[in-house]
Amino acid sequence: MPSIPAPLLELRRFFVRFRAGGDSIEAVAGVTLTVARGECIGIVGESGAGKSQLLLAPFRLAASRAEVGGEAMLAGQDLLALEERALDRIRGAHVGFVFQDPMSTLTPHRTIGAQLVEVLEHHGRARGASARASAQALLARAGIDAPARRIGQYPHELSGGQRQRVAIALALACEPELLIADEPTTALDVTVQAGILAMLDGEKHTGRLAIALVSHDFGVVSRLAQRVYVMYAGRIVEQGPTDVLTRSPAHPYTAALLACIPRMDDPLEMPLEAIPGQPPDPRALPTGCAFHPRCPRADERCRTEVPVLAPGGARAVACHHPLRS
Amino acid sequence: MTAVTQGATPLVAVEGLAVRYRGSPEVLREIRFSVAAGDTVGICGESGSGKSTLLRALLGLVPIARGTVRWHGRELAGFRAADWSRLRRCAQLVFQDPFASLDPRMRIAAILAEPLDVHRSDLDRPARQARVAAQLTRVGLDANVLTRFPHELSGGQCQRVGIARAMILEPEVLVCDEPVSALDVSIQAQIIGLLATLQREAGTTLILVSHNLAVVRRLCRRVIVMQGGRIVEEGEAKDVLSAPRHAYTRQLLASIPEVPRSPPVAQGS
Ligand SMILES: Nc1ncnc2c1ncn2[C@@H]1O[C@H](COP(=O)(O)OP(=O)(O)OP(=O)(O)O)[C@@H](O)[C@H]1O
Ligand code: SF4
Ligand SMILES: [Mg+2]
Repeated sequence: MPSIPAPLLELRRFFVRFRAGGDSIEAVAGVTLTVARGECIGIVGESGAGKSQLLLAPFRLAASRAEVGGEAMLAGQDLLALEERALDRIRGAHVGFVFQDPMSTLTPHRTIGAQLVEVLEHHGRARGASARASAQALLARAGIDAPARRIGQYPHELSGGQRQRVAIALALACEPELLIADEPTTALDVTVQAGILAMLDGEKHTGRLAIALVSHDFGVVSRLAQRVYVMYAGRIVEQGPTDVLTRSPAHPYTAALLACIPRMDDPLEMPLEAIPGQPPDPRALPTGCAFHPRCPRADERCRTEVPVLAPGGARAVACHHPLRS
Repeated sequence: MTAVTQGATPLVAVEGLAVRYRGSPEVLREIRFSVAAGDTVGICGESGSGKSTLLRALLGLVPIARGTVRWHGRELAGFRAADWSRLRRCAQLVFQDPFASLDPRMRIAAILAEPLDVHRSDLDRPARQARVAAQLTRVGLDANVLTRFPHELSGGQCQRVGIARAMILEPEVLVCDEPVSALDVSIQAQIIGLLATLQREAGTTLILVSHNLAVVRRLCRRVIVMQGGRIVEEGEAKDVLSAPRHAYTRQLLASIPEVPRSPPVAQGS
């Protein structure tokens, strides 16, 4: 009988804390999350919710003074116990990263070809002419036109969308098992975004690449992810299959996030259902459920007792009064 | 402005406009459109298509290579100092980056009072303060923000300040360049609602640049679609967005990632 394969990435009760002045900030407060091989998961939430910290801190890419704890396993290896050298091998070779600003992974004064070749050589994947040929093939795979010519160009000679494709090519150069994409299309216009999402979708369908996609945009996440984690104030408030959460959200915050997005088929006579207030200041989190000051269902219990993530069917939800159970 | 010139003359009319930046090819070509007073017009199109440049050209902030821009029938090229001063008062701007658009060294009270200090020296100090207070309430901010600096506010609060400042002179036209795209989705909806309410109540003309068609659809009666420095499609938003004619508009509409609609549930218990 086939056993259930261990997840590729597994975080358990994972936390990230900072000290800012006299305050202690818990950016990620005990999150449990898994990414299976070949799977795409999405993490949705507002700025400051801790989405990026959650996915970067396990690879020591978070702010340097952060205190990181809990469990973080990649393919059975304990990431938190690894030495820096071993972690460096993992970053790039086994896990690729793409950020909102492609220039955070590209070097401005080196040609695109040189940067791709360097990554391939650094991780011992190819050298010399064969590395150059691979670089060209990677650009073509990332949907860059005229790769033979692009290879000699500098990042500033490309448009924002092309630069992001190059950054993705760089992240995928060593055929990683996991791609961490943090708001990869947020800075791009919608037609370019559609192209990049289609390209990532194609990579996903090879079945070899798992993707953890961070976005504040439910639309982007639902385009790629099979499962979604909704994050608020450092915690997962709801998780489950994408279509379950988008069609029938159970957490009031998930529902509110979906309802506040203007859509092309909205009835215009109805005002948008804005979420009142603003995301909480991590230095002064509300008591009980952190969402309670903005929640229409909040009561006394919500103000005092932190709701725990409780499984129910395909989903799990952390709410005292979920919209559905 | 006399009532006579207002009638049929559009608020702003652009004819054969071309703009180039120093040393660059033309980034706007053959632009022609007009905006009637009180109308709401959305400008959308891909990044680099010239949307922001068009706004700058309307306000005389970039040199015009060819063509004309007319406000109330008067050509920018023939503007005198008094005309510029009137344009600066009657057309107010809201920008994409709420932090960068506010002076970091000024308290919110001073930021909001500044336009009145410059353009409404006819009002005495208490009258100006009363306007600041009233404006603050209209954009949904608490009086305690007055003594704070921009960096002490959230992005959404800063954008409310930016809108309050723009509306405080009761401008004829509000020109917004991507006013919500730097904000969190939950805050975007608040700001869209605020702009809609203010526009409706004051009858202000709205010229809005946004790459987000759903935002344009919410706030604008008319829409202009730009590609490569040209207008490729223009019309009433309800027509253009439901039956686009130009291939680029169709591509733009097809690119929007939307989540399947969820059935409504009762919020509140
Ligand atoms: N100050 C400038 N100097 C030179 N070229 C400029 C300047 N500002 C803009 N451009 C160029 O003019 C063209 C139109 O730019 P513009 O900023 O108007 O586009 P946009 O439609 O507003 O794009 P976005 O959606 O990215 O804001 C682009 O090719 C841009 O590179
Ligand atoms: S626990 Fe209470 S406040 Fe929190 S989301 Fe649920 S109903 Fe709202
Ligand atoms: Mg612009």
